[in-house]
Amino acid sequence: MKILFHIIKIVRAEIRSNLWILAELFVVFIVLWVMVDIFTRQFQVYHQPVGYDTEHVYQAIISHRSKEAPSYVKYDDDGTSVARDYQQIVAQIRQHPDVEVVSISSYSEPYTFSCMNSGMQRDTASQSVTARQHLVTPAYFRLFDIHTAEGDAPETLAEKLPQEGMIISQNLAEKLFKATSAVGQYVLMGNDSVRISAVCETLRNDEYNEKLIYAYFNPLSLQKYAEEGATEEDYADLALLFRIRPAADSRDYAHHFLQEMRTRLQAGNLWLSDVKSYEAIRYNFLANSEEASSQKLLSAVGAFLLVNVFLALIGSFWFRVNLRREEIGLRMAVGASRRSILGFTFLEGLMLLTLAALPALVVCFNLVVLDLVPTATTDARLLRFGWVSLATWCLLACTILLAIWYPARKATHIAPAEALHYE
Amino acid sequence: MYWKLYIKQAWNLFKQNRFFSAIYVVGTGLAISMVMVLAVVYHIRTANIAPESHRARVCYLSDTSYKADEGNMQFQSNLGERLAREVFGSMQTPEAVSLSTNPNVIGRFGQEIFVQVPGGDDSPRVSYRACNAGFWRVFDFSFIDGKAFTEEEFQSGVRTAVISRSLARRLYHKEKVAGETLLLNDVAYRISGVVEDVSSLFPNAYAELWFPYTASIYQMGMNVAQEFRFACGHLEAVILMRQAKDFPAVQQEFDEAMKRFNTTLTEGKAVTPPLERSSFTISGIAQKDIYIAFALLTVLFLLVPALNLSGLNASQIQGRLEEIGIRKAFGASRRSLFMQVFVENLVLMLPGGVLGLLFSFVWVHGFKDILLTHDLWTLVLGVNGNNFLTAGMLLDPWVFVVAFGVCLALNLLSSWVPVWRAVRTPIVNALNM
Repeated sequence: MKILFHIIKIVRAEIRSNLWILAELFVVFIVLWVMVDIFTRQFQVYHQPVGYDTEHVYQAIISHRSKEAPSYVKYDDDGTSVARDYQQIVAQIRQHPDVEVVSISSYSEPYTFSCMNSGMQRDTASQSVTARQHLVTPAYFRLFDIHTAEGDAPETLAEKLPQEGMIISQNLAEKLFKATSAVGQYVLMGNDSVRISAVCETLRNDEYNEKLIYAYFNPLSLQKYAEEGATEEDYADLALLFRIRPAADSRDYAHHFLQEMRTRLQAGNLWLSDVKSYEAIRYNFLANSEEASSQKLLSAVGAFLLVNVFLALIGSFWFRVNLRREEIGLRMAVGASRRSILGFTFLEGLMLLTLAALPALVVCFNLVVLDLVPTATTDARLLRFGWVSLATWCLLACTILLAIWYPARKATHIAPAEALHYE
Repeated sequence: MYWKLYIKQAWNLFKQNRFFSAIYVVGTGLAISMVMVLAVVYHIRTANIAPESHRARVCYLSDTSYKADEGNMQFQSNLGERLAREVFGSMQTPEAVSLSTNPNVIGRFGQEIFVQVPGGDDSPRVSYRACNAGFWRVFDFSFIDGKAFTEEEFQSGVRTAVISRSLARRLYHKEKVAGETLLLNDVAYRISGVVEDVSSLFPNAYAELWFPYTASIYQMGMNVAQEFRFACGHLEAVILMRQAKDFPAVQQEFDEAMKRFNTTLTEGKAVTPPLERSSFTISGIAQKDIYIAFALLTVLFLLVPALNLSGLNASQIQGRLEEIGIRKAFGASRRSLFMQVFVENLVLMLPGGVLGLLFSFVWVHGFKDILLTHDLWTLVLGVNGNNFLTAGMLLDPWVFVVAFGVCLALNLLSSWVPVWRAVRTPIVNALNM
């Protein structure tokens, strides 16, 4: 304890040269605190379950020939021929020996920006909730391995989908009915009352997606599509996904599949133009996301600040050690060991950091109180504040120790006699 | 002057205190690299770099809206073919006008193009531009083989195309393919030329395939019936002026031509925003805000490291007060002492500057998506695939001059105070050390 007061005295005695370091540490501490807060939160969000399993999943991109092309096949019927062409392509993919599941969906896939939303409410008096519609075939649940809220196999959901009513996600059930078991209940969509046929696990669009999506599922029927007179463009808009046997998967499977199936997957004006691995789609989506960009930029700024803290401390401690040769010599002459001198200098650096951190933490705490930095639940706030503050302190402490180490070591290697001789 | 001596001495000091020097060099390098990133980004986004070699004397028009006289109907989109042809065709002041589709926009309309060599089995989707002959005069492409299509070919709608080097390689496994036939969605085109690849960092010129829009396989709005499609379509205009100061005259002539065009419309009116000069934006942030941000960042990136480095300098000079005292005792002027430290620091700073420049290239490469994309959607959707950097973008005399200037500024800022204090130390005190 005594030594701490002694260090405080030294810090005070050199207040003029310390002022700049304190000011810099103060500012850098706040900036780093906010960054650590953002990074840890993003890390937590990233590692929460997404609900979708994209492994071994591929997307077959079906393109359509433009009407202006000379090879365009002109059909005179109201869409039955196009429907036949599309179903022929789907059947061909399904028959491929590697393929386990084939799913068709419309604007309902994870790792995309396109979605369809609509509102629903429990009754006319309650608040309306906006949920994302998933227009899918039953195979969708098996493809992405989506379980029921109770953890039952995807097949259960696949069975329920074509039946009357709709499937909703667990978080939507909780939002609407304050309970997970919502099967058999009814919700209002516009003027229709719709029965809940099953509840599936909570889903997210992607790893960075912080707000869980409220999801509901309706069956997509190709037959209905055909009856409505869907055109080539409509069919090309659908997402045709398939999962292959894990044993058959390889790094460039998409390319091989395209090479192998290109000629077979042509029917009328529809044709297979590309095959994409869903893992690649996921990777690209995450890499291009705003979060990934801001992480990169923030890391660069953080590194720049840490380098500056390093330079500031190494500079001033070098200066100080040079000035204090007499003092250090005297200490050593009176019997201080090298290690204690080193420790003493380190302590001085850490003391500076702590002195700067205290007012900085007041600012950070106010940021939390004023909700300027988003935090998780209210009760976890204080604990989180402590963790983040400690992590920031440690990060800066490491930088400071690294910066002080060389000048301090140099100081301890002065022969006491030589140091004393200056006096 | 003792320049040679100073430099020699600095070199010896450098060798004597390797650790200090290494820290100093790396520290300055990082500090300089941050400012250099700003300079390089500014350079890439605004300088005249081929193919956008005339950024200083071009202006742009990409949007128009059409308002019907009756009802509330209003359309907004890129320029219609007829508007572009009649308005820009009548203008005399500009040197050339480029009209072309935008690959990013046209993709959203589902107007995809797949190319294929007759009999080949590879048919990739390509990024293309349907353009006029003026495009090749406004932008500066380097042809490896063949040449661009001519005004006559454009006027008569000849099916001819220019492709990029890498597309030629991919499809034909060779580069000199002028005269060969290429299928665009099954329609045969003759390749008139092959150009060097263009980076998608040139948003006005980038594509892999170019052909006359008069020969497009998609409807370009040339023979349309509805009047709103006279004004609204898929084209974007880049106007090359003879001199930058022609801008007001071009704008005036354009306004008159628009007035004439509007007299030919009977059901509504086309309204265009004013022509735009080349501006500096990052990820869709407006030029004014970017300039303010850049100014603040430059000050921050220079000042903070300078203050920190000055601490390092002070410690260095502290150890040399004896030397300074002796030199002063023998009659050295403050000026020459100052110059000595200044030159010594500069000798340390220059390798730092070179390092900083190299660091900045690494930064820019690593952050090119964020720093060099002109609008946010291109970034988030990841459609800026081909945004490679070339030596021409990074290595430029101007960039080197800025790098040296930054070195000098950082040096002055960081050595001024410590040297000033050291030089003013009374001789007796200094000698006493």
